[in-house]
Amino acid sequence: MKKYFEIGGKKLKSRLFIGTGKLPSYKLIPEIVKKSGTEVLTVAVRKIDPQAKYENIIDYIPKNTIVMVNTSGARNAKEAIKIAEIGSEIMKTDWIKIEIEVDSKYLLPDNEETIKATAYLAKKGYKVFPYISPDLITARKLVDSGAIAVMPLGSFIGTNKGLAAKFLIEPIIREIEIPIIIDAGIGRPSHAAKAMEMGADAILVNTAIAISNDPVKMAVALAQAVKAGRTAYEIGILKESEFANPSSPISKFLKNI
Amino acid sequence: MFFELLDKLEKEFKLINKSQSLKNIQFKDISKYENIKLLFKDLSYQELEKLSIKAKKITEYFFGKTILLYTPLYISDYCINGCLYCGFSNLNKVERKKLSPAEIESEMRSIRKQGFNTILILTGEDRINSPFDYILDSIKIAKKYFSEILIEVYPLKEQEYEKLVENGLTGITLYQETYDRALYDKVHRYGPKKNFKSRIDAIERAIKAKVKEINIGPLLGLNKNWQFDVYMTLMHAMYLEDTYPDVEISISYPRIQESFSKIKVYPVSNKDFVKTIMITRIILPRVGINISTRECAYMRDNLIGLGMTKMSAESKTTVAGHSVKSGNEKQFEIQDKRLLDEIVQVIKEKGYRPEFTNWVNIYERF
Amino acid sequence: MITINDKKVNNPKSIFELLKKYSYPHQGICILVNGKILKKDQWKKYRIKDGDKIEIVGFVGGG
Repeated sequence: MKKYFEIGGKKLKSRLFIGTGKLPSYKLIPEIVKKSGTEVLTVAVRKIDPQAKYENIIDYIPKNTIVMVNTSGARNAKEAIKIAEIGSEIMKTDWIKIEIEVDSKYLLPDNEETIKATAYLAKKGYKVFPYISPDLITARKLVDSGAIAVMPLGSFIGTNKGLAAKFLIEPIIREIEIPIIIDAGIGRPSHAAKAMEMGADAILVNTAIAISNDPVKMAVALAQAVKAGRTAYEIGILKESEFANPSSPISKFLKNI
Repeated sequence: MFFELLDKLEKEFKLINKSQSLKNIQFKDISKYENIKLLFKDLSYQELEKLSIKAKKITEYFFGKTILLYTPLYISDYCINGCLYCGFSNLNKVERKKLSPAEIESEMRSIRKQGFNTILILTGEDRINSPFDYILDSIKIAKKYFSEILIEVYPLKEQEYEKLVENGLTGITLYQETYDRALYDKVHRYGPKKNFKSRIDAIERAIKAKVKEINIGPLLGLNKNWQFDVYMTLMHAMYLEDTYPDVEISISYPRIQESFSKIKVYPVSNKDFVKTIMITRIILPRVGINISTRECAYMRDNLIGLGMTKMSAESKTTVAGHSVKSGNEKQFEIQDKRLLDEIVQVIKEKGYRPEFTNWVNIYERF
Repeated sequence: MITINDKKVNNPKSIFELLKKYSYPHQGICILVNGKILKKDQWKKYRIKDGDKIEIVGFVGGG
């Protein structure tokens, strides 16, 4: 089993990315990071009003944690690009999660605008992590546009319905060569384990931790589930690729009878 | 009894490949019938591979990565049946052999030393030379050496099976040879075996007598329409599973050897043989598949993981042959002549565990 | 008058005065003037003019 997960030029030990939205307090962040082992946090960009007792989230983020800027709020590629540029100005980071939503009912991302933003930002040298509604065709276009990974949603944001979009995600995992990070909808450790067993390279969890009765413990539980699911996947439960290998003994036998 | 379903099943068989929908079929799981249709289709290598993935998955889910090893012991080759396909046929005028109880014990001691814990005792059909009591005695002796005792002998009465079970009988093997009644009549010239119904009913007599394991199967090659016999075997197993849920069922697919046959043989190809095994596994996840040394090493080794769950080893198809001098006549020619250790090694190399007893029975004996 | 995040205020003398007056940290923020990012190395130089629309942006918790 590989010790590191290589992505965006970094070597990560943890396949759990954590979103910091809706957290009751930034004070939880250091413990969440420490105990869960997560190495990537997402943040959003907002205007900071004058004298508004601004608690800077950056002060709570442990050193060496990768900060991924989420472009949420953007309604089109242009706005997403702007947010990305602002984000990398606020703090030295080139990891961008493209989240472009116009639909406030389901919070579905706009796949088309996401492709545009990805292409532009990737050319500018950003490490782009586009968040999309699971669609293999979009995923392929994102690969061509220079994305670092593809982040298909598991189920609608905040619904915690786990991998409702499983049948759409599976082909993406199978066909797309860049890492697949399942984002949105993971509500419990079993969802996380399942996502990893399916072959996802990592997951991003936000709501489940933020609204949990004990965010730190939930983050730990999710980290354990991610490890468990990944181990099972790497060992090869239901690894059908073994058989598709034309030089495997069974394949040879079936060819010769 | 299964015999009563034969007419209906024969009609259904004719419908299988017809485009009309299968309504009111005996066993209602349509997916099973979809797989049965594959028996008639010439499958490409890719299609076989798809089946093999499923077969492997199901085998491992239901049986784990294990292979049960057992060995046969022929104690008597006296036979009064005039069958056209068997080395022991009464039509073969050869010197017959029968082991004495002391010889049986000597053989069994020898076999136990080889490492086997499951034994299959065989006789031909002859109530005078190999009477019921003779078989009963052999079981009593076997009980001293083996955890599991199975017999492949002539059909017995229910009370006889009961007596054997009382004394340690675990299971029976009883192959119908062919489910085509007309053909059955043709290949059994004379003798008690000519009675199709009595033979097929014997399975259920044994089950009613509380036998734990049943092994059924056709003799592939007898029937030109081999798919019919495979179909009926599957239906037989399905019926037994549904009707007697606590009995363990296994299927064998012995392939006839031309040299032993007095009739025209329609050999089933390797491809069809393997296809049959995989389809069996997919349709009947809980049914064991038992492949004997009739099949060569290459075939058997590759069936590990494709559905096979039981293998015989170090078989001698003559009477005795372990410590006592063997009889003259073979029932069939052994293709896989490897020693037990060799086979165990191969099983282990494939990541499987060789087993010598069925866990259900071990538990009970303690 | 200029606006800071759409709030009308008197013209500060410089960016740094603005940050001091309104209790903004110097790190972890981004300043936009009239929609364009004002890079950090420009903060000292920049002359605030009347009518400038200034936005101060930072990170907050987000998914």
